[in-house]
Amino acid sequence: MLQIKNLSASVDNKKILKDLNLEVKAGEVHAIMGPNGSGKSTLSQLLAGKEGYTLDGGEVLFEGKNLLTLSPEERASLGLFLAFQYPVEIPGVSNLYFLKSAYNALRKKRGEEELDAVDFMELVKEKSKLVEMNESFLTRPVNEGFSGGEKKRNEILQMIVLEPKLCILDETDSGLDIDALKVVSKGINATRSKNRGIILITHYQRLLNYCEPDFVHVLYNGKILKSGGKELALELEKHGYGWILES
Amino acid sequence: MILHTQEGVRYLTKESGNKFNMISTNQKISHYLHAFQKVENSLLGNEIPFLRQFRAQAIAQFENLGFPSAQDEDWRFTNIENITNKKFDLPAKDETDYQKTESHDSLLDDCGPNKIQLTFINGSFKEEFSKNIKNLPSGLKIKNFKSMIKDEPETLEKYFDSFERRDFDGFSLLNDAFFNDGLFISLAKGVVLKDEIYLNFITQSSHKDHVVYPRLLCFADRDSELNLVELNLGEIPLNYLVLSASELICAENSKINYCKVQKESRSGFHLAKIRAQLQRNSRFYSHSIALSGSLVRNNLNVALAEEGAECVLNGLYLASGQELIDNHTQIDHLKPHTTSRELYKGILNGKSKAVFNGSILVHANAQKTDALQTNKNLLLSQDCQIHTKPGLKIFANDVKCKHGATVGQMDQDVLFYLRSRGIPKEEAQKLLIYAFASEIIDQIHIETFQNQLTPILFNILMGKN
Repeated sequence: MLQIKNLSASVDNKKILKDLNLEVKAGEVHAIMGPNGSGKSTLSQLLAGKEGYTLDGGEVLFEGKNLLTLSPEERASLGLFLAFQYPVEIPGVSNLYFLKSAYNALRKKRGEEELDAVDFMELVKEKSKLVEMNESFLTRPVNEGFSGGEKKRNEILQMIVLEPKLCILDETDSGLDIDALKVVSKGINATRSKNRGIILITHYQRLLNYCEPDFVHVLYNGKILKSGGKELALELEKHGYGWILES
Repeated sequence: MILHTQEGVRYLTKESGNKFNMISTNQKISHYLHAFQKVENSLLGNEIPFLRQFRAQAIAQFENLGFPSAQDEDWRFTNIENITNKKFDLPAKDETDYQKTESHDSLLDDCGPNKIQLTFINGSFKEEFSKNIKNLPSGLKIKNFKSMIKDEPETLEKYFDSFERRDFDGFSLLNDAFFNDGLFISLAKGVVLKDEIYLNFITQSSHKDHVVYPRLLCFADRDSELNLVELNLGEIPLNYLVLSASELICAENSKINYCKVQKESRSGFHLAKIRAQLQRNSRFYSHSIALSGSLVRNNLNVALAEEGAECVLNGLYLASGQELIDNHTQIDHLKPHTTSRELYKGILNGKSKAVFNGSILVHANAQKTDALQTNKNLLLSQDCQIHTKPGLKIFANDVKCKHGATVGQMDQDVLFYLRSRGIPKEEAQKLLIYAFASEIIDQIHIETFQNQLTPILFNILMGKN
C-alpha cells in the first residue's frame, strides 16, 4: 500500500529525514516511536502534502502512485488521511458543513453521487456515537473552543466518516486523559480492517495497550533505527531510547 | 466624456498647476450651481420655508466648500476625480420607468415577498413597485416626503435635519440641496415590529452620468422596535452617482436595527451619509454590507446623546477588480454610561482598495464609556490595498476603550487542513473567505433577511474571487 524508499527531506536547509525506508501493507498497523525532534511529524506532514519541505531524494509510492507529486486533496481522494497532532480551529465553518464538504468532495472525485444534507446528517450521527461526540459538536465551528481531547476525537470522527485506506495518526494520544484515550482507541480499532493500513505515531506505550500494533519502528535522527513487533514498544517504555542508540 | 474634460485639458497646458486646480475646481462645482438655479423652483417643498431655507443654505455651503480634495485628511486615500471630473445630471422625468432586470431579482425578490417593501427608483418613490404597503401595522407610518409635505409638513419639519450639523462635505451638501423625494418612517410608542421593512433604492437609467439623491428619515418613538433593510441596487453598465442621506432617531428605550446593503454596478458611485441620534437607553444596530461599486463611500455618524445609549456598528466590504470601498465612521460618546461596539471586516482582491477610518470620540463628561472598535482585513491578492485607521479620542478619565486593526492573508495551515481532507484548493479558499465574512452576517439579527443574504453573499464571493 505505502512504500517509502530512501526518503530524504529537509526544511530550511536542515536535513530532517535521512534515507528513510518503510513499507505498510493493507491490514497492518505500524507504530512509529521516537524522541522529540526525530522527524516523526515531518514524515506525517510530508506524506499528507504540506508545503515547505524540500525533497532531497527517494520516493514514496501509494498504491503504486508517486505520492509526492500530488496535491493534498489528490492524496486525500486516493485514500490517505492524516489525523493532525495540532488540529486547527476554523471559526465560521461548522463542523457538519466541513465534514459534508470533505465527504462529498471525495465522493465527487471518485465519480460517486454526493450525499444530501439529510442523508449525511444521519450518517454522521451514527458515526459520532462511536467517538462519543454529541450533536452539538456538529453545529459548532470546527475545533473552535474544543478541548484538547475533543479536538482529537474530532480527528477520529473525520477519519471514521471519510473511510480512508491509509490512516496516519500523528500523536493523537498526546494530551489525552485516560477516558479520552479509551474513546480515541475505540475509534481507531473500529477503523482497523484488512483493507486498511494504519500508522500510529506516538511517544507512549499506553496508546499501544489499546491499539495493538503489528510492527513498531524507532525513528531517530531522520531514519528508522530499529523495527520489531509490539514487544519493542514495551522495551522502549521500560528502558527509554538510550539502549537502541548505543547498540 | 471627452467634452467634459476638454476645458480642463486646455487649462492644464496653458496655466500653472495651481491656477489649473483653482479653475478646474470652480468648473467642477459650477455645473451643480447652474443645475440648482435651473431646478430650484421646481424642487420638492419649494413652497415650505424651512425646506427652501435648508436648500439655499446647503448650496451656499457647497459653493463655499466645493468637493473634498486629497489634501483633506478624511479623503486622503479616496480619489474622487472619477466623479468630480464628470458632470452628473438629474435623470429626466421619463427615465424613472423601472425596467425590471433578471439580475435584480436575486436580491429583491428573494427578500421577504410577504414583507413591507418600499421601492424608490432614481430617488423617487414608486408605489407600483412597492409591496404590502396597504394596511400597515398600527403605529407604523410610512410616507414619502411628497405626501408628508402635503399632509403634515410640521411633522416633517420636527424631525428633518434635527441633529446638530457636523461633518458635512460637498457630496452630502448636494443631497441637501437637490433631494426631490424621500422616505419618512415613524413608529409609535411601544410598538415592536418584528418583521423587517425593505427599502429598495434602485438606480436605473439608459443615459450615462446620472445622479440620484435618495433620502431617508426615520424615527422610532419610546419603547418601540424597528427593523430596516435598505437595498441599494444598480446594475446599469453606465456611470452613475448615488448621493444618499439617511437620518435615524432612536427615542428613549427604543431600538432600530438598520441593515444597509450596497450592490452597485462596477461603474456606479455611491456616497452615503448616515446619521443616527440615540436617546436614553436606546439601541442602534447598524450593518453595512458593501458588495460592489466602482467607488463606495459611507460616512456613518452616531451620536450617543443620552445615558445608557448603545450602538453596534458592523460592516462587511468586498472589493475586487478596481473597486474602492471606503468606510468612515464616527461615534460620539456624549453622555456617561454609553456603549459602542464596532466591527468592520473587509475582503479585498484584484487591484481593489479599501479604506477604514473609525473614530470614537469620548466627550469630557462621558464617564463610564465602554467602547470597542475592530477592523479586520483579508487580502487575497498582491495588488490590493487597505488603509485602516482605527481611532480613539478620549476626554474623560473613567472609560473602557479598546481598538485595533488586523490585515492578513489566508491562513495557510487552515487551508492545508481543509485540503488534506479532500476539499479542492479553490473550494477551500472560498470556504475560508466565507467563514471570515460570516462573523458579520451572523450578527444581523434579522433572521429571514440573514437567510436570504447568506447564499447571495456566497455566490458573490464565489463569482468574485
